[in-house]
Amino acid sequence: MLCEKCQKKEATVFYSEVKGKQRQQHCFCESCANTISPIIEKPDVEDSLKKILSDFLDIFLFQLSSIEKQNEKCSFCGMTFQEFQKHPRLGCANDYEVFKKYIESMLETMNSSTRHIGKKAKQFLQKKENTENIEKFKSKLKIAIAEERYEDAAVLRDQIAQLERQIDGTL
Amino acid sequence: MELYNIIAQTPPIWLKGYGNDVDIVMCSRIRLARNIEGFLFPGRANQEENAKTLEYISCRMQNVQDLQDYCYFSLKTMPEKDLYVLFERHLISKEHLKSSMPRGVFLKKDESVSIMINEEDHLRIQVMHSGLHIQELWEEINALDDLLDEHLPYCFHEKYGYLTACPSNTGTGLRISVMLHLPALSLSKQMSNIQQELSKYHFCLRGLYGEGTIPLGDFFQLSNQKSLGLKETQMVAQIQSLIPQVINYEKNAREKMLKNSQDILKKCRASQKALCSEKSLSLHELMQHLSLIRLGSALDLVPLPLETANFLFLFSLSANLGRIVPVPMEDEDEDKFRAQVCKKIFNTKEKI
Repeated sequence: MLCEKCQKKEATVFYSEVKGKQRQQHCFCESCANTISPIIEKPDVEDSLKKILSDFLDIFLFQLSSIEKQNEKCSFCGMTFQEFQKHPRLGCANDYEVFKKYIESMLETMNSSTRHIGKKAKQFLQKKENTENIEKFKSKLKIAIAEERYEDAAVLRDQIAQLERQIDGTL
Repeated sequence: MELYNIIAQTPPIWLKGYGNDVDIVMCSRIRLARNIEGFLFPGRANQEENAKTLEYISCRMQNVQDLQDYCYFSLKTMPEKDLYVLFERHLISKEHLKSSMPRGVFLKKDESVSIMINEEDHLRIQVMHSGLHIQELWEEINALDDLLDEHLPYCFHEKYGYLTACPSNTGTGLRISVMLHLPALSLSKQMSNIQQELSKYHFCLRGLYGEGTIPLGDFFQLSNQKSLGLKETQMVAQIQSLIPQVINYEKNAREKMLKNSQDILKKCRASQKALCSEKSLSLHELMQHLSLIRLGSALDLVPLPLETANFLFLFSLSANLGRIVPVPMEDEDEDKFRAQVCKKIFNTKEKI
């Protein structure tokens, strides 16, 4: 097929142009295509090479991290990465942190997102709120001491202690 | 407390056979997987550690005022035949049945709710009802989960949600299952197409007793596969929009079948005859016959109330059969007793 512009050279670039509801097919030789529109994308050799190299690097890094992971062990349940690879059941909640990268990629494969957007555990939310309040009260306490407002400081100290006891489950 | 004073007096509520399209949708079930902070997950813990977890959870639960109408059973010392009765009635899972660890179950008397302790996760909460009532089930289990949450510190992660032993349950820990009877789709060999279609939406069809079980007599369990990245209510909506499609496929297949009703009538009558007269029936044979008779009943070809069919369905399973024929049975005897029970049910409850 000849280039539709110069009608001399063989057409090597084909593209469809959509205008409103109409679709038009075009064919150009490479030199005419270069003069017409920058939107006609040609495969970039450099990009392809970059992609191959980056894929290779990913595989290399994954293997390297696998070797590192083999020495990883959960301090709470004693689960090792090898054990988990052999039988993918977790031993405790802490494993989610210890084998985070690996679990994250598993969760990604199984689900459309790795972020939970459903209901939240009430005690978790309470604990989170208490931790945030402790931080707030601690900074207020510092200011109160600096300003020598010792009565306020005592109240804040008691509030912090009460929240800490709540977090520890002793209240 | 004696197990059979609590359960197994009558067929469980989820087999009552009421609700829309109950000839196709037998029952629906929702379960939540939860773990408790500070304890090893049951699969990692030893006997002693699991015993501590069980004591911690069961003591806390027994003190909850709103759980007073539940009964607690320790499974470690329960006779094997009783464990199988619970399993066949979907009150405990296969994993829970087979475990050798200290474990227990809280049951509601009508068998609509069971809370397994030390299954794959510390808690497996499940709610079941006859027919298709997913929204109602979600509301019920959500309220029960909120109640337990007040008394037990759940393992929860800011990003991943509820943490479970198997990453396939991480997130919501939610599995919605609908028990379906799809004989027309099976007979017209359309099941693999349906399976493929469902997998596009990340749903799957399994045998009646969940993961790793073979479908018996065209009874299947349809459940969601994803547990993370969607809200629980979105998952409920997804399955609620999918089930009517499956029901329609089955209805269409049944309509096509009726065009050649002589053929299906012949098959139903042969199955009826077999259930009334055979001297020995294996579980597999019985389920095949029962499936055809249930289909015949839905197509008004065979006069059989659905509740009777469901009753037969449950009491033909080995352990529940053992409850009505309380003598030790060998496999061969079991098939004979099964045939006897069928005959009795058909001849007394239904003149056909």
